[in-house]
Amino acid sequence: MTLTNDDDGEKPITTLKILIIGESGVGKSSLMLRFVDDTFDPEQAATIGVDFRVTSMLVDGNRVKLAIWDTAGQERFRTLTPSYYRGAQGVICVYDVTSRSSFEKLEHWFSEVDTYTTKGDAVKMVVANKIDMAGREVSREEGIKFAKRHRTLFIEASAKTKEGVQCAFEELIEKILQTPGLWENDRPAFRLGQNTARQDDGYCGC
Amino acid sequence: MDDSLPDHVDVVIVGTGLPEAILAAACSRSGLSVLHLDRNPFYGENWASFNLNTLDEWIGENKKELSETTVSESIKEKIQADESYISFGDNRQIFDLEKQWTEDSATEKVVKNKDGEETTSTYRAIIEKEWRRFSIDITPKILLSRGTMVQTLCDSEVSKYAEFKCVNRLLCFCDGDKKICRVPYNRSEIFETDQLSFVDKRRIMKFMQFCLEWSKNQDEMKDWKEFADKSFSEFLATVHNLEGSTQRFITDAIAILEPNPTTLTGLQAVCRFIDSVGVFGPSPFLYPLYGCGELPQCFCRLCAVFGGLYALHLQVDGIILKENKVVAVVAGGQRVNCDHIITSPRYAPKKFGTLSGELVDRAILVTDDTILKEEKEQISILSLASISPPQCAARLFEAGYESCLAPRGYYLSQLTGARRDDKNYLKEVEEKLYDSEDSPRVLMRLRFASAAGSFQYSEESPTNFAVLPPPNVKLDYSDVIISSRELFTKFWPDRDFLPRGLPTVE
Ligand SMILES: Nc1nc2c(ncn2[C@@H]2O[C@H](COP(=O)(O)OP(=O)(O)O)[C@@H](O)[C@H]2O)c(=O)[nH]1
Ligand SMILES: [Mg+2]
Repeated sequence: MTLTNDDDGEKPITTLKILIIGESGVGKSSLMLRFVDDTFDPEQAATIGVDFRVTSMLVDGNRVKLAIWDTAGQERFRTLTPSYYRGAQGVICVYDVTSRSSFEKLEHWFSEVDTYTTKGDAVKMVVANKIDMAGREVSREEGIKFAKRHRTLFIEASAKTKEGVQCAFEELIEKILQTPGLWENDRPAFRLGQNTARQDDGYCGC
Repeated sequence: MDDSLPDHVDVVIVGTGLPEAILAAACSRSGLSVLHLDRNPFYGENWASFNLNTLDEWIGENKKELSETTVSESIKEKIQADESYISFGDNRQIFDLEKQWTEDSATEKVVKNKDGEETTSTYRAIIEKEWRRFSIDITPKILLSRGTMVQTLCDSEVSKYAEFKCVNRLLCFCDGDKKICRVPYNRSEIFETDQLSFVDKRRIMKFMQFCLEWSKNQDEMKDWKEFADKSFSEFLATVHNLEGSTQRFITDAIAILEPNPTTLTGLQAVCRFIDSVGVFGPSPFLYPLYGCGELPQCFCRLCAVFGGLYALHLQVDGIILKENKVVAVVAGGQRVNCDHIITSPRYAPKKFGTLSGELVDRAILVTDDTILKEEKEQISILSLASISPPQCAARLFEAGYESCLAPRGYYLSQLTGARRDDKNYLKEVEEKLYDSEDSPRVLMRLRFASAAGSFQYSEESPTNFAVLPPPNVKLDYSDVIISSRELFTKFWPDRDFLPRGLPTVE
């Protein structure tokens, strides 16, 4: 399998909706921006204006479009909307290795995923972020144990140094594509304002 | 993590129903800082959609006795000597709630389990197991393809947060109310239908042609002004020779946006309908995938993307006033200073006004089949105008698995109608529809009434405080956009309401 971010103009075989959730400040927006733009802004305060970003990947010669959704800050008081979860095929649950409480809150985020995701077999992944920092409060072993218990993927990463970031997304996408039925759409609908609008036969025929 | 609310914001919005969500998005989008609060643990208030479990929680909450609000010592400490305090209201919005599993739901049904073995299970057990698959609208409405809601969604780019489907069937009663039949949406469907005689097809087409011209230059057109304030039916019969069930196609279905119309409002309704035909398909009507409860959430997301702060399931205490202006809210035990407060009718202090008192009756049924079988699953609106008083604007909206509203094989049938003369006409209508031998089985039934009408401000209401309207009985969303925009431009005349072309959020 080959994975690249290069766009070769090929038509994507599917568009995947990927969510990034977890406590405020664990580095969700930073991980997304590192992956999509390969940038990191240490000054990044509250994440205003980050909505979702679209990118694409080449997996085994097939182009896969990714829509990666940020929480838009709505996680702060744990008020993500159910609509945020709809149709997601992959969920990245992030904690900060220097914050024990962010790790302990993962249970809450997992139960929210189970309640709201409409695809029962959506692929989950735990990302332990900020491994570049001193003052670790959660060991690698604890992270792995948690992921095992919930039967999910696990990876340690740093949005600052890039370590593990590309790998995390690649593993997640690979697993989604291997899950039969997860990425085919069985109930077609359309979005407004896109080229779906077609002028049909009206009353006037004009 | 910091759990504290900010000390100051420009606007506090209380209640996350659709009008409040639209206003929150508009404020945030134009650069105002927004704090958006709700006592409920969910978004959408009476504009929400629920699954079977959250529906039961909602029913429980709405059956509770309302308790008197008390002003605690800790709140008093937050009020300065020259300020006064008033508690937010907790005004009941939902009445006459009754939910029941019908006798039919205890019927046994043969189902295949995971290993393909046949077992029996009651309908109720089957449905309850699939509780997450339901999306039950408290306020079902549709979007007109070329209406103000679609326009606002597209301009604001909130449209990217939701997906839609066409309401592909418009139905009404024909053959002396004995039969339900499909109303043609466009020219070719009119010619194809076997519900109309050749002569009537010609008459309808001629009338449609008249409407198209009328929408362009009504002032110069003859033969309608003398009917403008008279009944639409009279106009159709006298001028266009449209009578009986052919006339009903027009009055009940094509003009469904304006029940009980005069000739003027009827023609306007027909024109709005025609204008939206053929935009996203033959149907002029759209419906959000997963139900109407998606819309408030989408607007809230836009608000959040532009920095709006959300806190749900929060104790929302009251308002601090100074010289008859609101200066702060108290919520979650904290004081947040602000320049404006906007609420849904639930939170309005009685001293500042009350709703005018109208009610909308609702009935929600889970059924095992559609009211009119076709090969493929359909999303339908059935006009109930011919079997209920026209002032009720009664109609039925039916959808199922394809719209993500119900498990495969089941349907949600949602009836809506204005209460008139203290009478719930929907009960009779429902019996008529579902009591015959071959009608679908009703498995669960929920009935309630929701507060409608307009908010009447008292003289004491501060000028920087406002209340947005509750859901009304109208089929489409245009009124919601109009009233939200009106309030926004009243408070912030120099700002644009959800303007086209967002600054790119890169
Ligand atoms: N040292 C370090 N800081 C990080 C890392 N990821 C994020 N941060 C910082 O942590 C803070 C919160 O990050 P942000 O992405 O806004 O978190 P979010 O609230 O989860 O979206 C910011 O100041 C980031 O610069 C990381 O991997 N290493
Ligand atoms: Mg963020």
